[in-house]
Amino acid sequence: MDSLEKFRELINGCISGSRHSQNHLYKMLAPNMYAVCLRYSKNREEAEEILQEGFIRVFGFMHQYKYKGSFEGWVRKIMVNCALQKYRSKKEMHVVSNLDNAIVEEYGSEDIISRISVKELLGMIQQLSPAYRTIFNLYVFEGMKHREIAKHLGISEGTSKSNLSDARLFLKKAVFKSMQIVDQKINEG
Amino acid sequence: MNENLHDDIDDIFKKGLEGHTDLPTEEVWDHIDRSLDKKKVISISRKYNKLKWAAAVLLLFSIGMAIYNIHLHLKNKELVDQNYPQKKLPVPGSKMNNDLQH
Repeated sequence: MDSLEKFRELINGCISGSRHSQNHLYKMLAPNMYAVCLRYSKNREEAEEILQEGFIRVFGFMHQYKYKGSFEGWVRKIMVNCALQKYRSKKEMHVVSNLDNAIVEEYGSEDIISRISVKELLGMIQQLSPAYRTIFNLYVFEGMKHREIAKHLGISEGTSKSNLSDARLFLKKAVFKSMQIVDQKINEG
Repeated sequence: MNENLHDDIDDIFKKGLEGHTDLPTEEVWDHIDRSLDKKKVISISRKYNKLKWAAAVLLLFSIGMAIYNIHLHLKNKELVDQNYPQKKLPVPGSKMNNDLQH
């Protein structure tokens, strides 16, 4: 039996309500999907709520999957939709925690990636206000245009553009601050 | 602010978080498991609800048919009575009987 056939069998098992198949699929996809949810949330608890709601929907609507395109992509779309629904239900806008103005320094992007951990980068995204975080995610990670983002969130294209610009500014300052701390530690060491 | 970094900020996060995975707590699956059980119970109860409705419709139909049949039976009887009236038998000792004797 090839992997595609096994995969179809797994999907069919989930559709027919086999808890064993559902658990198997959850274990397969949860680590990737949780990472997606973490980017859309302010903390792990909120991300887990989105993940949970997302998987319940995945199992509920699985019969609608037509084997067109990647299954993981289909599941990811459901997770993003759940995150957007949560955002729309809260409607917290434009609340940004203050960061001190960072000192301008020259850092290359590869240098930054190698010196700042994934956890730190994720933490920076999670510090953004829900509106900035959602728009940054949709633009950078989902590859959406401002017109699509505006439609999804019920805002104007201009608001989407200005929020993205503010989010980038906030992240830039956070990255600088983090790099300064890393430099300081190196100097002290 | 460094212009290069401004242009690269999207890239830093995209590349930095590429392939990132994390494990949720066990509680997430437990909640999903319980929720799926609840949905199953609801769907079974919905299935029985449909059966209940079907039984109610069948009962109403049966009552309707019974009323219709009784009504039809009575109407038929009435028509028979009208078209074929039964002749009254003479009562012994009555005036009609005496007339006949004479």
